[in-house]
Amino acid sequence: MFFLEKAYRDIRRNILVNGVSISIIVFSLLIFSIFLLVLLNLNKLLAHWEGKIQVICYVKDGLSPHEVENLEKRILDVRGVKSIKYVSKSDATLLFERLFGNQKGILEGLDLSILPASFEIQLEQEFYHGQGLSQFAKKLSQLKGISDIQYGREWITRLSTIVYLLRWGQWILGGILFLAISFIVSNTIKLSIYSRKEEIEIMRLVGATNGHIKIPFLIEGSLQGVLGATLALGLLFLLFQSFLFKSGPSIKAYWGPITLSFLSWSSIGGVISVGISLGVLGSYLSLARFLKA
Amino acid sequence: MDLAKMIQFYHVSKIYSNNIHALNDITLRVNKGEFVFLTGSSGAGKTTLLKLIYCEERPTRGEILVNGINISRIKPSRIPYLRRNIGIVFQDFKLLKDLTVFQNVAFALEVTGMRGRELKRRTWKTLRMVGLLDKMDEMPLKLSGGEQQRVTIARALVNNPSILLADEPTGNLDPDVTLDIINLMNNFNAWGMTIVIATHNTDLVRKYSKRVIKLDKGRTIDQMHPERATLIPESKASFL
Repeated sequence: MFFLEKAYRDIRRNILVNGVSISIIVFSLLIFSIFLLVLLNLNKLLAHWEGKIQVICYVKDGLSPHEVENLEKRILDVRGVKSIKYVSKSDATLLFERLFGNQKGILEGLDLSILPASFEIQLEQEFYHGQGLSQFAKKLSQLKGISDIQYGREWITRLSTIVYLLRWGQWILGGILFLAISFIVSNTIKLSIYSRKEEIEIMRLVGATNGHIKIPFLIEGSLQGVLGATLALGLLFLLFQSFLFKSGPSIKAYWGPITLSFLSWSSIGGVISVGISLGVLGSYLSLARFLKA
Repeated sequence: MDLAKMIQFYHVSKIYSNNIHALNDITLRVNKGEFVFLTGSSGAGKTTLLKLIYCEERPTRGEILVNGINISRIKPSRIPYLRRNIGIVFQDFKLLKDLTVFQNVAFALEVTGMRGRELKRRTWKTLRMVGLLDKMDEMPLKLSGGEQQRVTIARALVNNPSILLADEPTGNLDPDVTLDIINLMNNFNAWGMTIVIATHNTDLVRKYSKRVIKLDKGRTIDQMHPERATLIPESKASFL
């Protein structure tokens, strides 16, 4: 209790230095949180696009229902199949007609029975890349009863490259950003502790133990971290809301069914933990320099 | 263990990392309740000698005993407890400018874990002893140099130490105030406190009948008792 009170008194006594430290923590963590938020939504978008990856294999005409059933079983046996949906010739006709909607008249006179039955296959995530898909398609083509296999190879290769770059890039970028922020925050705290060098020196000379000196500073550091992180998240939330308000409709038009989401509770907890850790660690490392003796 | 000995140096040398030989083979003894002046020109090693006593520095060679404890080998975790038994006064006061006189003195009790009524009682008592009770709510920068030094002395004494070390305590003060400060320390010495004052002010040393340890280039060159003819008249004592 005494240490909490002392930390509170010390923050008030050094309000200017603490204000500067907290502001720097706020802006550093705000940049970090923006990065997390962008990443979160980008990953969501990619997951949505990836979910659309499917292989369509067309069934030869004239197969009996029993043969179709057997074929389905054999397809399911191929490694990588997550789910499968059979689209019969009549289903295909219906879909085709629905596609033309009000302009159904165009289709008059056409023999829609030429549309083949097909299987729509969703794949396991590990096959979401060009090579995986080619191998999968090759295996399918060896099965009897399949006339053709279709998948947007070029598009999938491009998408999988983007996903790959993003998955690695987020760690590299995030790592660099985290290091930069740690450096800035710990140095800010170091400066604030340096400004109280004399106080620490006096404490040592009058017989304060290292623990007695450290604890209020560590509490102060963690309070700075909590306050900085909370303010950063609050600011981020306001920015996010105003962004949604201004650009929401155009984003909806471009991104379709994807809705932008704010950081999850676990990410919020993560940002606050990063703030506390940086505050405490920055204080601890800076104090270590004064308390060597 | 001889209880009459408060500070003992046995062949103590201190060489700093930049190869500066601050002290060379010093052997000396300060008895319990003694008042000693440590003199010598700048760079003679006075400050280093004091720092060795309160463990701010460790000796390169030799042994130091303070109150019977060999502090040359003391664990770092024990140093704070040793310092609570040693009051330290500096030329530049080292007061916290944003704390009141009372808070500056109470600060030294707080670090020992003392709180509440006892802390207030001890702080008031010490401030009364140094004649500053009426200024306890003032900020240090509003006080004169002599008063600021009295606050420092109060902070050094509030833990009831056995030893008071002062490094050029009157370096920034005018002659009248200087005498007041030394007289104040003299009074504490009369109550049995061991006092070591480092000063290069030879006039001041000559005015008191105290043992003098003279240092030059890190060596003890003289230990003497000056003539007693220049004792400060009792009326000059400002204390009590």
